Amino acid sequence: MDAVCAEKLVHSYAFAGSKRRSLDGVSFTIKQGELVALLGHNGCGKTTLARHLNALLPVQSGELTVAGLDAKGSANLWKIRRACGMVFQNPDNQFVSSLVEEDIAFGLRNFGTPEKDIPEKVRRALESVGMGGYEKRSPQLLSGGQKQRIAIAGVLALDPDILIFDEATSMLDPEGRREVLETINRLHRQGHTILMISHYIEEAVYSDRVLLIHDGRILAQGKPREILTDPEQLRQAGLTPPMPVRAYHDLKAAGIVLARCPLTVEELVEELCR
Amino acid sequence: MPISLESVSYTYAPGTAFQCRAIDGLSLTVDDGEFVGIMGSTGSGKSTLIQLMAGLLTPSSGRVLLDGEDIHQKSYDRIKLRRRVGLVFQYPEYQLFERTVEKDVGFALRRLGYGPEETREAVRRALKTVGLDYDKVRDKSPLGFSGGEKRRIAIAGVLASDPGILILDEPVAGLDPLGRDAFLDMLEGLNAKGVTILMVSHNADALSEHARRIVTLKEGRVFLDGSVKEVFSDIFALKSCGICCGQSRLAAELLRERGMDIPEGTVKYAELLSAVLSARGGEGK
Repeated sequence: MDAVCAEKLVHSYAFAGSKRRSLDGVSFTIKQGELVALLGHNGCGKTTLARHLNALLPVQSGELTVAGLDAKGSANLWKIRRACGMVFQNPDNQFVSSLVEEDIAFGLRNFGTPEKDIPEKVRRALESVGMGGYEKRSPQLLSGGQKQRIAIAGVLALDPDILIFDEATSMLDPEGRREVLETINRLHRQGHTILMISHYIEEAVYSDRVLLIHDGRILAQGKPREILTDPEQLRQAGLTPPMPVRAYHDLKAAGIVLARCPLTVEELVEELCR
Repeated sequence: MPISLESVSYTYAPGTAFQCRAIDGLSLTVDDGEFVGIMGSTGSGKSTLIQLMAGLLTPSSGRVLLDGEDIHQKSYDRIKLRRRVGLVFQYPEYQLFERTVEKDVGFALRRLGYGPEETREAVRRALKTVGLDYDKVRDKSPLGFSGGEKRRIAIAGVLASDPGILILDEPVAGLDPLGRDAFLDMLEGLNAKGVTILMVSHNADALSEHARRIVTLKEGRVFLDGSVKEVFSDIFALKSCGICCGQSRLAAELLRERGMDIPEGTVKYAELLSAVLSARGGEGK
């Protein structure tokens, strides 16, 4: 069974009389245990799509199954919200308590977890984001990367089938970004199904599959090496290629042809020193 | 109109358990027309520094001078400061609030006592600078635009009063790559017209391509201060204050380690490309 299966999803926000389709017939699947990167420019429909997976937005038209649950109507609303955990952009906007352990327990209590099971679940969630021992700390006094990892732990504690990261690194400094990306990769290795939304194209390099979205449609999908090495298509989607890809094409134009198109700085150096 | 800090210190919550010295005896002068990038790890004092420069915080000790005048003197005309120094906060789109773009962008002007005609012209000009058409957007709600457009509207509100010094706190975070490039080009355009730009950012790629001078902070003090070439050449010094260099700079370093002949001071993408081309010149077909 696929973790997510979307068929011709359409969504419009009714805004001051004008109706613009934010999603215009989006179809895709996410397999169990897959790390999928969703890339697109500001306003292309990334967040609208993510909010469907978490039943924050109702399905207006089309089909959507999340963790085997039909997302149409409101019958499965709460099951879907539990099955699909979401981490947002701004870590400061998602804390409800002044204690880390209380904050993580919030979701568990909302879903009626027996009180005696909570400390163990909180501990395990913190361990899996590398924040063990922070139970009694205040989230407000942590660094950006740590705050975001606490937010991830809060979602993990509910043992969701799917994790969605909606530009979860865009408000962090380089160190915080590295921490969160490492956490995402670790969760992926542990077998979690992950959808990572970003417009930092470098973050998509380590995904299993890239979905390129533009004007509410899936423009292309494939392995990072297929999608990220095509500057024309990326530009069409309002994105720019990673620096090593740009270098590959500029060098080629100048007569230096590398054996393969590099995705990272390390690969670029490797190719140049071959 | 240079802006200058003379051994400025700033302590948050003095005398409490949360007391924290964010800026520690810092001196810095920025001349007219400069494009300065300010870098440093989280907690190094970047945001405090720009709030001191813009007169939002009063130094615990030391002086902040604008055109040689101490902006924290009682007799100093704060309106002059507000007109001269435009401050763009992080995520400025969160501060949009008016019903129409025209009202939002013109808000500060009305407070500064501009007449209706003057305000309209200034709003039109500011929107043009950020790449928006006044006639198309003036009557729309500023909240109905995309993230990147909202940020440009908010910045137009700062540009409307025609500040000679523009201070921006992490202005490109959250913008997509094309939006980021367009935004940075706009800043360069303003700088070419003589506007002094001070930009706080973690984005080493953006600053190495666009800024001319880099100031790095560490524990509330200036740690490195020099041209883009000088500052980004010293990778070890950068690392010690928690700053990663840009991708082109990193590639240059790794290539040099592998024995390729890449000159010192290769920082920008164009420099990297031409260095690689000349190092491999012999083999080009």
